[in-house]
Amino acid sequence: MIPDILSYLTRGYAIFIAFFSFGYILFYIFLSILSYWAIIKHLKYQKYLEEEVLLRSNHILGVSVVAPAFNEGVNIVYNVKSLLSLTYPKFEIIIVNDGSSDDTLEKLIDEFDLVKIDFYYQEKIITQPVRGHYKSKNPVYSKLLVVDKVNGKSKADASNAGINSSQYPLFLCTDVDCILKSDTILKLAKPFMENETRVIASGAGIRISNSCEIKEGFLFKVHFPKEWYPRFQELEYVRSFIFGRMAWSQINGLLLVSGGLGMFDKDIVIKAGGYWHKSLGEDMELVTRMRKYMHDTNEKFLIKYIPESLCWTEVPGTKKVFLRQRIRWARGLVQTLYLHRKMFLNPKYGRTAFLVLPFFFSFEFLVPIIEFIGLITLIISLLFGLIDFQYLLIISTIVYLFYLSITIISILIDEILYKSYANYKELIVLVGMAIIEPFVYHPINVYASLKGYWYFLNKKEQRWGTMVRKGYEKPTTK
Amino acid sequence: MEKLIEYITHFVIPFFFVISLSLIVVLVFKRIYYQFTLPYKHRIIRKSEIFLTEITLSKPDKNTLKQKIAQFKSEIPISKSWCKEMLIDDLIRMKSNLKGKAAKNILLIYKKLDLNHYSASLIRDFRKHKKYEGIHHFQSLCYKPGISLLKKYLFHPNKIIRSNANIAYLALTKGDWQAVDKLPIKISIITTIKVMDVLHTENIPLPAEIDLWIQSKNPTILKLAIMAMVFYNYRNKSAEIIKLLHHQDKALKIDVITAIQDLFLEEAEEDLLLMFYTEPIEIQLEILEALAVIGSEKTIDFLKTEIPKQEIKDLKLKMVCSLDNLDPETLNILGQQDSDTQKMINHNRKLEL
Repeated sequence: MIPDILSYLTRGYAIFIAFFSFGYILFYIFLSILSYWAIIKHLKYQKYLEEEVLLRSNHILGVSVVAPAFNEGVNIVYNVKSLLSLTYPKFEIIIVNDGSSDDTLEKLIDEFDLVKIDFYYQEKIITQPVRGHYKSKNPVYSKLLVVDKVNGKSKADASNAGINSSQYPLFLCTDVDCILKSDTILKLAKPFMENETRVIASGAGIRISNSCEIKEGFLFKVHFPKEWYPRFQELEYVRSFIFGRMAWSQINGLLLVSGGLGMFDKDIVIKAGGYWHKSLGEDMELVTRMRKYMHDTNEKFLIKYIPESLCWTEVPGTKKVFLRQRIRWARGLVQTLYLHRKMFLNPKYGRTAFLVLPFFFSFEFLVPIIEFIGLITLIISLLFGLIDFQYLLIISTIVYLFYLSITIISILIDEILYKSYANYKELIVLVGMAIIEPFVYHPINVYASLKGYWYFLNKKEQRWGTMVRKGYEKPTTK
Repeated sequence: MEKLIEYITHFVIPFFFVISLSLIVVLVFKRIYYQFTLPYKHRIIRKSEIFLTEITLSKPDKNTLKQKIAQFKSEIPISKSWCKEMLIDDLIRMKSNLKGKAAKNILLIYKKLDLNHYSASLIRDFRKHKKYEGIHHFQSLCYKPGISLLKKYLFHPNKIIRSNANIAYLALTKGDWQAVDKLPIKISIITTIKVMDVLHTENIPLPAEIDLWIQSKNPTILKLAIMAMVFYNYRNKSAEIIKLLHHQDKALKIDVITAIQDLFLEEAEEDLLLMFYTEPIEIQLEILEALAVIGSEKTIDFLKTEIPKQEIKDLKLKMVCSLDNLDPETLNILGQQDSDTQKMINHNRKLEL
């Protein structure tokens, strides 16, 4: 009796997996076509407006660069100098010292000749108390504003204080340790100016700086990561930024503009309520809320993505830090989907309700759970001798080969467009990573996701943890 | 089911396998080929840069120039598109940094290397992005013989081609606003920026039709007229500009207020003060900015009354800024009466150290 039931269940599960995989593959083929189309379109539009013309213009939109800093004393001076070197006619740099317990603020005061000013702070988005605003006496640093506030235990709270203190209609949110290309502001602000429909956010590619040569906050030479975890993440970033997000941008379905690099329409962000300080995926949650706001107010909008790498950031290099980050991301995903569950299949929210959210639910949230159930099914089938090895092998091979094709296409697009890697050997290593990723890296990701979901269900207290920075005094080649 | 499995085993899996393998081979060999040809390309790029710099700055006579160009052409793969594009990009870069005779030499080299024909072939290409590139070449290198070709694209159905062709045409003809009445009702900030850039860089004279533009029904033409009037400091049609304060288009209204401020149209003060209460906050902020420049006693009185009772902080802050500009003494008195106003005064005065 029990073997019969198990047999039915495993068979049913196998059929479900076949259909699910088929749907997954079809959807990704659809995304790959969209992505290709979007990248080609982006490249063709390059000559619509020369960037030098924008730089010369008086009619350009002003941008506030908001960078929260918590215990960044090691690198803060270099980071700020790097941000101040950005090229754009109208911008300010807002560093939010989020109650650092180290010497972050003191270093900023000393290096940039800062003095406390009477700043009329308007708390348009509620934050932890702001202790003061600092400006430099040296005109060379006139674009710098430092906001000192009580620690809010989240990047969201610090970003909100930065937004409240900003003076321009657009703001670029980044991490203080991110290294931005000098024309980043220009590239991200351009979509806001070239579209007749209101653009509410824009984003671009992020790359990994772990093995890059960095001196005093400036990127000297890009190198392929030398550690295993950053290598896999490099692969993941290429696939996700070049491939996935471009496709979503093409159909105006972007639900995530990375917290490390994203430009936003300040007015809409404030009206939508700013970053939610309790969120563990505040970037995704904010974009979802902004989309909701625009649908609610019946305003047409666009969220654009640029297929160019404009930002380099340090990613977790050890398993412990990596797991902590991914668990947080998984919790962020499920938290956002749960929070905005009323948007699902609600005609009021258009493609967000019928395409974007169902995709994130089915192919982002559900996949780790399905894989886990698959593993249990596999073990039970093995124990009771119910396994159909031929079927298992066929489905696994198709999914694997499809995944490999998609990943290699992403690397190929990146290679054709930007030649990010130093030589063909680095590319071969990357291809090698792509081949072993499903067996080595993917299971760890699935584990982290399931743990994140479990923590969410258990309402375990959120903790950001710290990521040790290497410091930029010397080039950080390893 | 068996048939399906057979089909998958014999066709689908081999298909994906071949695709993956081919992609890997293409990826690696493409890179190896690129690395292999890179030193050669770099040599050509260096050679071109040296040649272009020498020939531009040395100002040779016609015969020497002809001879040197012929020799240079024989040393580089001029038939290759990448080489032509590299040369054109170099010429554009040099042109933007040079003036006078040296800049004229650039155009001569462009023609002698037959690159003008390459640009023209791009414009005639069926692919839109090639057209953008060709148009960009003509405009950036001030290639006036290209005007006749550009004329064909002034009314092109594709908005980017039309926009680029019009801007290039405007730049090359030094102010022939052929297609101004065909401008779409809604244009992006980018188009406006492009027009203003051409006005700046090409020293185009004030359009003769500007008095007609200001009476147009199309908000885009009105916007263009206003911006041009500001650029040329043309105040003859101030009454018409002020009349546009009551236009329904919000973006245009903001441009008009900015124009009033930039042209110092003091006669608009009354209108601005009157419309203040009926406008949304975005417009009110613009009005306050303009009043800070053109305001008189009337504005000071208005601000004196408004500041103490204003509850919207953004507006109050802007009012404080405006009054600080017009009458700091009066503002000091208001500051003494209200701590919130005093904080705003401090913010305004100490933000720029």
